[in-house]
Amino acid sequence: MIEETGFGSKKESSVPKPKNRLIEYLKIMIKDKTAVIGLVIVVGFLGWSVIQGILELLFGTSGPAVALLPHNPFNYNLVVGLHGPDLTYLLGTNANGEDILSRMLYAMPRDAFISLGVVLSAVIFGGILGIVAGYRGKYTDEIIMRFTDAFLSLPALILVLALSVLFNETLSGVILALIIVWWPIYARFFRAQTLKIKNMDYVQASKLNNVSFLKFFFSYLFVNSIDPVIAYAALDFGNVILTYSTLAFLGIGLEPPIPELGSMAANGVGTLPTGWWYAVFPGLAILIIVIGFVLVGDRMQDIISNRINY
Amino acid sequence: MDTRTVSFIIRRAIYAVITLLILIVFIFVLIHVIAPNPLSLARLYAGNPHATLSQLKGVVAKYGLNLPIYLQVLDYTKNILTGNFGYDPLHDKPVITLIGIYLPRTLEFVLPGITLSVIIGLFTGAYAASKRRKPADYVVKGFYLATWSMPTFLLAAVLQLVIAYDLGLLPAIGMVNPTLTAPPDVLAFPILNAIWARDWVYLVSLIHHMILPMIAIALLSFGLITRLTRSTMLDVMETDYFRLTLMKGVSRNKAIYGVALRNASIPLVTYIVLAFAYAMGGAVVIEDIFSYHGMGYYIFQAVFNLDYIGILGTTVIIAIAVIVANLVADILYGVLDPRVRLE
Amino acid sequence: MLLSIKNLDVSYNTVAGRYKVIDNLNLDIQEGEFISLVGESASGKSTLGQVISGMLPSVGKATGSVLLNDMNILELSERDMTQIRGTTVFMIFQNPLNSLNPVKRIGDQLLEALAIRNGRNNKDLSYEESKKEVLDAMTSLRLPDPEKLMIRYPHELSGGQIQRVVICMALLLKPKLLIADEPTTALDVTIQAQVVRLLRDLNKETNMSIIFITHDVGLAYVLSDKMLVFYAGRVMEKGITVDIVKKPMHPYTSGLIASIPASPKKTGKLYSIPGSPPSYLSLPDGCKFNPRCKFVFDKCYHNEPDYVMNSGREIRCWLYE
Repeated sequence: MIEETGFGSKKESSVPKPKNRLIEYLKIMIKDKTAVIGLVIVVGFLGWSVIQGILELLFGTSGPAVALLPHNPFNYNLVVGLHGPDLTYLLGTNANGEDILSRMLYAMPRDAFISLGVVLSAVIFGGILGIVAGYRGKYTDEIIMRFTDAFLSLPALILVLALSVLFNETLSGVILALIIVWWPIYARFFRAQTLKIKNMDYVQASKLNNVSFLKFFFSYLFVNSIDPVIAYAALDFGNVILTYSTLAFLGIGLEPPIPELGSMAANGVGTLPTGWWYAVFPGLAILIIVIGFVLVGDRMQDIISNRINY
Repeated sequence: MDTRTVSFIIRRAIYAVITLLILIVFIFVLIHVIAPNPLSLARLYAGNPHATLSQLKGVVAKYGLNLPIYLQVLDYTKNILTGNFGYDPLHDKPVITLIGIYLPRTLEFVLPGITLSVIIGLFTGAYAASKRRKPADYVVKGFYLATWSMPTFLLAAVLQLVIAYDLGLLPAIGMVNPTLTAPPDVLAFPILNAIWARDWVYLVSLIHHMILPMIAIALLSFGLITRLTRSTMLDVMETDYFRLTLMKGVSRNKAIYGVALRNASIPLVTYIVLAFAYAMGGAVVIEDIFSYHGMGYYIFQAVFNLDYIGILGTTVIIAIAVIVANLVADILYGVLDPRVRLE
Repeated sequence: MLLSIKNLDVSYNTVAGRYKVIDNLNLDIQEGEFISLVGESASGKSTLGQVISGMLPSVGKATGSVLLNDMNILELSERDMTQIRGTTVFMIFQNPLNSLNPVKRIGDQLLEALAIRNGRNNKDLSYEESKKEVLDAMTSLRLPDPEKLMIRYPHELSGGQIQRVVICMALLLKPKLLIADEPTTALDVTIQAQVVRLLRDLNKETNMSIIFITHDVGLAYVLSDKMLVFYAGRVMEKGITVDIVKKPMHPYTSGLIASIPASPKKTGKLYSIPGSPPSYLSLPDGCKFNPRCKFVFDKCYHNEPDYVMNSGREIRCWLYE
């Protein structure tokens, strides 16, 4: 279908897109102010998480792992107790006198890594199932689709809760539960894309060339379905963080004494109305982080579906 | 009702049943992967992590846990369909009874909350679409961005902090003033019970305590609905038939709030179901913060105490509720949009 | 003069940059004239239709003057524009399948059109009278079984029927100017013939001016009095259709006409103009057709030709200056 948009003729591409489109997308994204804010937040969050995360992995709770933080998050000071935000403790302290800002900064890498792990696994697992469903069609398709329907119709939180409990509420159980709940949407995406490009010329042509199935699978189907998936995944990071922190709020998947943004908020809520900062700031941090991902993901989706103009 | 519509409904109902069965089978398989033999299964069902061997053996016998798996699945499914969700050892009551107590309380604030968010969301979405790229659009977008990205516990906590504690407008916790005695349980829903018994003081207290959770639910789902409505409206406004309507000489406002909204609201029924499913998840946190003892509270207690039967029962009932809601939505969709019936 | 366009420039603002889609267009249409806009896809012809009907998307900017019934479309408020649409100017779209409101019955949509026209003329018809007028219109367009058709939904109709329903709307609205944007492209040939015949009858019997946008020179030849040949947003040749087709002057026009497959018995290669239309983001200097022109010479690469009158036509080519 050729559209007249004035761009010159825009044809449905019958040739795989060039590989440097990530740069192209970034360039377009930068033009939009809100997307830039989102990008700053995301890069800041991920950057910090990587740095601090590596330190935590290597050094646990001591020494260098806390060197970058304003205070040692595990130093409790019962004399100070529950103290509001001031110049020393920028976001206040909790009932044990531990600095909230430091605890939050210490907790962030976990959210980042877990979210990353979950989304990646969901994309891969969902991708495999989705492509198989789309490519094979008929019964395989029907079965896989009924599965995704079943999962997608349930509230994510309830299902994740149930599964986490089944897995004995360990951290790995929680991660597994998240992956199980998250893969269906990606299966849907990949399936839709596979159906679209399955009959396109270059796919048929590769079949004629006797390309091996695995190579075919990855270099054609997976790679060319990836665009809308990446855009959605960017958004989804935020969703996983939201769900994960809510689980932490409910007390699941914790590994004390390591702080978790959600559980900090839970403790804070317990001391309301005094000590509101302990209840509010962790949630606020999550709010900002998720907004960042949503802004970036949203913009990417717009760009990929070619809906942008100003 | 013509035969096309009837066959459509039947098809949708069959889909719903299959989906439910798949879910039940999946959960069962999962349980059996985790607890591969009857004894470890018994540990799950006993609700007591320190049960002795003989107690476990008793549980095995009682629940028939040493029967082949497919029999257990069939048994379980049959039980579900007859309303037997098992016996909750934590509360010492059948699960179905507990659901009968707690679910209505949750629905009392969830249903109004969703209705509120749908009505407001629909018009806000249409408004944002009509004022696209103007300041009003950005304000709306900013608002639903914030409510969407906010973790539920932040939203509920802030509401509680500002409105209940700081401003003192509404009670902070509880479902009802604890000094009052409840009217007799005739109609399962506390509000209806109060009306039936003409206990107006109790009714007012109930409503007072319900407002904040309801607002929390409304704000939670509002973002989703506004966003979906806005984008559907924008899609409709790009169609040929919308342009043709304008070409006929229909005024822009009439075209937007008449034709566009009418077409964009067809998926609305689906949105309501989405919002409902989402709200059920949010209710767990909201009820925790507001100490509102409804379904969310029950679920939380079950999670906290590793009450497997409770968790299983609540998950399945919520699954049933959502699947039924989806079915209703599908059917309504078919009624509203003549094109769907041909499918 | 029904429509008088002078110095019309239209440009689009996108993330990829700002570019001009129509360059210095001039056009006069009288009542009852049948004009065709001919050109390849994305040559600017559809955009012109959008400008005249006030449907240019907000990312487009138009400068110049477009006088319809002595009112400048470009300066009208939305409310005034609404009054013009329907009874002064009306447009038919290319793809009929999505042209009608899917949740409203055909009859209701036609009655709505009639009500708008009556409302503007301060005429008040009863439901029975309105229904009769709609049915008469449907019959005159040879729509099968109008009574039954009225209660149907758009998805139950074929493309050709929908297109005729839209033309029926035009019949009921009685606009002074009808813009038909490739109305037959999505239809198969036999239906094409019917729709084309309907348009011609509409023009002859109600004296409705029609702007027919197409890439099919053959259709333009059969239907229109005057023709405008578009390329890259410029009108390359403008004049009387019969003259242009029999004796094309602009190299692009000749190329277009030569590309029409001649008698099926003739063997030999099918001609097509070498190259492809340019992207608006990277238009060549000078005459926009120079990369593909058989007669190109040095001046064509540096300066863009202006309109000149030659043999009763306006033409934009250095060959004729």
